[in-house]
Amino acid sequence: MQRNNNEALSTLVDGEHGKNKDILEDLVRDDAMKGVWKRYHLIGDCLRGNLPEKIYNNFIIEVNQHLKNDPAIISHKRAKQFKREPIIGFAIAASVAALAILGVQHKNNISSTEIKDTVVMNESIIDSKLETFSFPETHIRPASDKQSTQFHLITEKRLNNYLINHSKYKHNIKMNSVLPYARIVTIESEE
Amino acid sequence: MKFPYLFSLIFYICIHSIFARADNIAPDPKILIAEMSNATTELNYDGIFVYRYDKQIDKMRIIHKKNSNGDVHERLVLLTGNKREIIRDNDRVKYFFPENKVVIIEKSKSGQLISSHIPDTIQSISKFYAFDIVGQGRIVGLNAWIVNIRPIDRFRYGYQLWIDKESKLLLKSKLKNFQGVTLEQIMFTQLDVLGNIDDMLLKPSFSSKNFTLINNINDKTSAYNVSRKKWKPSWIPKGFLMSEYSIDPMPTSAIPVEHFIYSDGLATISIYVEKLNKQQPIRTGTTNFGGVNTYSLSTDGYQITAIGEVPKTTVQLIVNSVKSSP
Repeated sequence: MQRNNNEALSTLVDGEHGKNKDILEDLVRDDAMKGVWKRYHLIGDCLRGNLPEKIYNNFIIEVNQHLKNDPAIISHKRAKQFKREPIIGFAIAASVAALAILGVQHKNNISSTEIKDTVVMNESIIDSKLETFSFPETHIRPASDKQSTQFHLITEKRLNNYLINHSKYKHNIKMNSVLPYARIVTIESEE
Repeated sequence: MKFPYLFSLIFYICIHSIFARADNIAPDPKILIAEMSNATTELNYDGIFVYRYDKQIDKMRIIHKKNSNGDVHERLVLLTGNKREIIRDNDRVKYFFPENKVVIIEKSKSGQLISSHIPDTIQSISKFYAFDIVGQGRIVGLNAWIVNIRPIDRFRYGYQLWIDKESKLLLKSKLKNFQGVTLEQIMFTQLDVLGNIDDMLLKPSFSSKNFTLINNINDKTSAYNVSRKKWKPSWIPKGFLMSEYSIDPMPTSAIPVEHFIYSDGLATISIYVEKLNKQQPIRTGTTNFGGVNTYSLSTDGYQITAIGEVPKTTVQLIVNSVKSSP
């Protein structure tokens, strides 16, 4: 029953109503189906590159947990009963979801050891092939500053020196005395 | 016989409710901020806080001590990423960047700007910011007042502060733009207010022997009193007054850089005017470091840069208005 519902939902997400038109009514009543519906849309958003800017840790854990538990994704035997197109769609979606999650973390410049501290990643979801994937190095600086040329190093060093110099001037109200220093110690390395 | 007991009970309930109310009566936000400013310097504390900006979160430890002779010592340690530290002894600040083996020594200029009449200063700030107590919260197990500081215009940022009811220390702060979007945030996850702090905790965790020392304290300004063009911004947001002018030596600059400092009491804007050789690369455009925005442009062989805890538009408008006169 669950399997059939998932299949019907997947066709609905793909823009087809399928044979079972009662699925919409079931969807309104059934909270579990609503959850599946949300996850399928999330996967669709991953595929289309419509993920939100910020993904929080518990959110990632939750997605991983659902991906792990969802029979439509990890159970190959059950997957055989699905139509071919949705299976391919889900396989790609699962890969993209994992990639997107990894991508978000790399974008945040968090090293692999730090990921372990903050996010519990499910080993079974991260395919070993994905680990060899190279991600473009990203910085918080504007696009024009990303090239690591000598020119940019010099101008960045100059700007960093200005920032350090600026931080020594405190305002009258010592409202947030640690903040100027916090900004300095988090300046990106000039190496 | 029962009357005295009943009277005592009513008396106890009245007194209890008065004290309970007193604890929840919102104080004057301006006085509270003055008390917080004072507590930040006067108390000894050791705490860990998270600093969040953009998509990055970092964790730091701050140890602050004020000796009985009035000397202030502070140590900030970055607990995530590169192991960087900042040590402050009164107005002398050392920045340790171990990944580059560099120590930069600067002299803090806070003493020249601190007013001895903080409440008066807050009164003057009130023309450009609205102060309100908007509620109560609980951070790191401590009860706090939540204070909103809203700017009157789009040329400056606002703040939301969580101030400990007891110690008056800042427990959490958010820097917000005019639309109320949080740009930068710090929040303590551990905070101990202590009677005394061991001096060993204020020492850097590594020796600076193998480090390259960049000492920016040397006063070279008098040696560079050559005739310079007079630069001046023709526009600055209302309420920002020039608090200082200096000619600062910079490690990356052959010639010291002209430096104008403006403040409205809460935010500070620096304008740097640096003469560059033709071969030297010039940066133009905007950058941001958390809640600090910068904008640079080049004109007539000079690079003009504004840096401040103000919106991007503000630094752009200021730099575009800077003009020279012979």
